[in-house]
Amino acid sequence: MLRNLRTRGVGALLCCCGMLQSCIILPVPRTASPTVGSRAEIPKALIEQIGPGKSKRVDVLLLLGEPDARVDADTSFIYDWRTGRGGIGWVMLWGIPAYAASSGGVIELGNWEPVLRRWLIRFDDSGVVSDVTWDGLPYRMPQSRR
Amino acid sequence: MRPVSLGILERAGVTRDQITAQFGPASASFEGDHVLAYRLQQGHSGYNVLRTTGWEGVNYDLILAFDESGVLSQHHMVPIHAPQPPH
Repeated sequence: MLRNLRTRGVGALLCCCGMLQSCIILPVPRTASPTVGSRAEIPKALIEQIGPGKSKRVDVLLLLGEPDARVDADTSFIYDWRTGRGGIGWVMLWGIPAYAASSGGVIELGNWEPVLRRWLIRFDDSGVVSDVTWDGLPYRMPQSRR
Repeated sequence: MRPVSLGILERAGVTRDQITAQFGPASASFEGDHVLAYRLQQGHSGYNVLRTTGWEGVNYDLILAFDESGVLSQHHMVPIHAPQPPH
């Protein structure tokens, strides 16, 4: 009886060791490029060509193209895109050896969800840009920073 | 997908009707049809108008602005995704 228990314990230990040996955590380079179906990034340098109080709705359209969303009868345009997180991500490769169950997989560790980036451009009643928002925060144009 | 020639954009006095006859319905219109947008894909032999709601496969967003009489006054091809280099 004791020998049987000991044998089982050793077997379970060996099985666990086998599983642990087949678990590897690896760094993986991630791309920061836009996800499929998303528009490409709109850089700040492009947005900074817009002059609040000067640029009209047609100027914004000619510069940035059609928006991803139109709000309240075109009083605001939303331009957004999703990008990968970039940098290094970590994954865990795991596998159960053939003598146990012979399976395995990859688990992404941490947050791998794409990042949503958004420009919101508001227009006044005459269709002139009134303000620009970047990811929910007012964006100060270079000409207004001086 | 509809193949189009962009040479028409360089002609003087091109009207909105001439544009829509060649390009088909716009993917979006603004300012009471004074601005039209077309999503273009650059192919080996020219450009195609895409009928799509997303941006997948779209290389340019062509923006056309018309004056009060419906004549093309400004246009710009806004880059969306860089075209794939030929293999």
